[in-house]
Amino acid sequence: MKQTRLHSVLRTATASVVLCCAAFSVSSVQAAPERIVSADGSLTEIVYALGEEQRLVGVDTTSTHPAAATDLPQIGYKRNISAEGTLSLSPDVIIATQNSGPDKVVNQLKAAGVDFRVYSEAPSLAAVEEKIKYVAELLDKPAKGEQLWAQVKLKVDNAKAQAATVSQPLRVMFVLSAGDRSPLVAGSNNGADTMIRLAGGINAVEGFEGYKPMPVEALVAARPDVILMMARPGHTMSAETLFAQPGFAMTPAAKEQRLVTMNGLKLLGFGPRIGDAISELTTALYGDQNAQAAR
Amino acid sequence: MNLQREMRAQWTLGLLGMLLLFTLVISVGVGPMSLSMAESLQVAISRFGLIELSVPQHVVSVVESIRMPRTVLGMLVGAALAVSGAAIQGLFRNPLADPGLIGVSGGAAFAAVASIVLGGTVLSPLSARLGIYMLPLMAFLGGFITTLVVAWIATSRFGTSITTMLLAGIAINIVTGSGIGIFTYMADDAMLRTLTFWQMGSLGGATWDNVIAAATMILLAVVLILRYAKSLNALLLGESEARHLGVDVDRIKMKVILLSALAVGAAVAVSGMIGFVGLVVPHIVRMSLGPDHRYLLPASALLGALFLLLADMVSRTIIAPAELPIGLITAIIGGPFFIGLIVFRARKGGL
Repeated sequence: MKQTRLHSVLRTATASVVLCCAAFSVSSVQAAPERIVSADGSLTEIVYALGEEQRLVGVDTTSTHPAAATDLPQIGYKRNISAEGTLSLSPDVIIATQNSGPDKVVNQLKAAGVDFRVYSEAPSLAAVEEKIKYVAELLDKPAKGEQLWAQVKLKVDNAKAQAATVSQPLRVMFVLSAGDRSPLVAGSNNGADTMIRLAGGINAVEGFEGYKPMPVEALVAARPDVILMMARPGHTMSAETLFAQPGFAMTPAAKEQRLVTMNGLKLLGFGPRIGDAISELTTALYGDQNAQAAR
Repeated sequence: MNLQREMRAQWTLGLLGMLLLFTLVISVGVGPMSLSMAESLQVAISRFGLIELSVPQHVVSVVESIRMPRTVLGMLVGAALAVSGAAIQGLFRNPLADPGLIGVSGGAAFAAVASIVLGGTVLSPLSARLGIYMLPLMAFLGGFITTLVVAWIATSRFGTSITTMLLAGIAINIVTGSGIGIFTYMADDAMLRTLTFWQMGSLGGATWDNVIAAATMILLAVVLILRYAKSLNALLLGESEARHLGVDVDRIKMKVILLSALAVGAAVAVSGMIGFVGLVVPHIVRMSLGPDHRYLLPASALLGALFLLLADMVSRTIIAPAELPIGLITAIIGGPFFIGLIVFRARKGGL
């Protein structure tokens, strides 16, 4: 605690030095970074949620929320960022997740003396906590970070309580794309699987990891009560179209046309909106009455 | 000697037909859902009114609206790819030719990837109207139009040059390939997954609706191609020799190419990119039956159908409940088998 205060005093001191002599190069200052490039959508959201967006000087193409982030200079797709383009923004620090890359570019950026911070990519609540707290620390706003995480935690716990009142958890199947071919569905060990479980559902799909095509026959055998899909402009499928297809038509979900669509980035982003995403999904699955009962 | 060969060819055709029938039955009987073979077959047979049904309704639905269309689609696509491959190899007199060479696969893939990536933005009025039929329709049109372009490039007032067509096909494939690259770059994560799997092929989208649509085009094209067997035989001697034999070479070329584009375009539209069938199957047949198109074409159709049915059974059961894309299986089986065959024939000196 004492150290943080000392650090903050130092930072204010150096900041004033910078203010005094404009010629002083910013990157040589050992203080909270002022020029940040984010190479991951969830990290960009965290910076915004902490109210520190004025420090962002560049983002990658996965940073689409809030909409204002898309107006910032682009460094390319997170797995394929451009070294020189990023350096041209003269960042003090680049914040990224484990799958940002390619490694060669990361090494080039590190060699160029840029502080490159890598955070967990894991689709878990723990990773969200880690990202929020570490980014807040990096920005020298640890208190704001704690506060933000507390808000997220509260929503997650509420959703958990809401889901706990349900006697029979629903079997949910996340469908990434369905149309003219075997639908791509979420098996275990991925973002959708985590979200389904956090929202109090059971992933109807077992037996493989990640997102894979699944023969419609296996889809019937999985007996999903609810189909979960991403709402994307122009790609969103209506319940009638979906449940008219053979396979989907034979699932328990078809009886009451239970299709839940959610914003993809919100659902699978694992950023600060995860609390809202979980409550939204839980409410979509089990209705709102339970929420009142839980309180 | 010649008579012996014809006898052998006819026997082979009969044998392939029986094997196909047998595989068809098995294909309806296996799948990721654990139904007994007897139950599944009961459903299939009851359709002909021979026996009373005594199985639960969900078994009937799975067999009738999932397995049966998928099986039929597999046979159609396999036959379409193999017959077109055989006809195009004959036409080009080039063992490396396959339906991809006339641009149909490249064009279809380009249109399909475009509709996956642009479906939500530029092409949204189209996708709103056509829904899930947009991609197959676009793929079919893309394939057919690209083939027309290739044929147009190759045709001058001196007729259609096969060499120019070969070059045009390669050039068009480079163009469509770079177009696919651009769309891949524009795609987001979800689109990337969809388009990657599309390019690996799958029979998973089979419904009676699209089976009937594909069947109309594929059967028409295959039957018409079979009628050109004798002309293709004459072309094997060379173009001028064929002309002397009274074959209207330019007309045959154009017709075979357009019919192949029709068959392959329809196949790619409903099943995505399934490689190797069009290249390997005709070769296997040619190595065992010889180059006579009267037998080569029908035998290729049967073997293509058989091969794809087997590959699809592997596709939907090997890593159940997930599906291994069928294009990977045809390549994994087809590639080494083909290499083995070439090595074997080369040692015997009979390639």
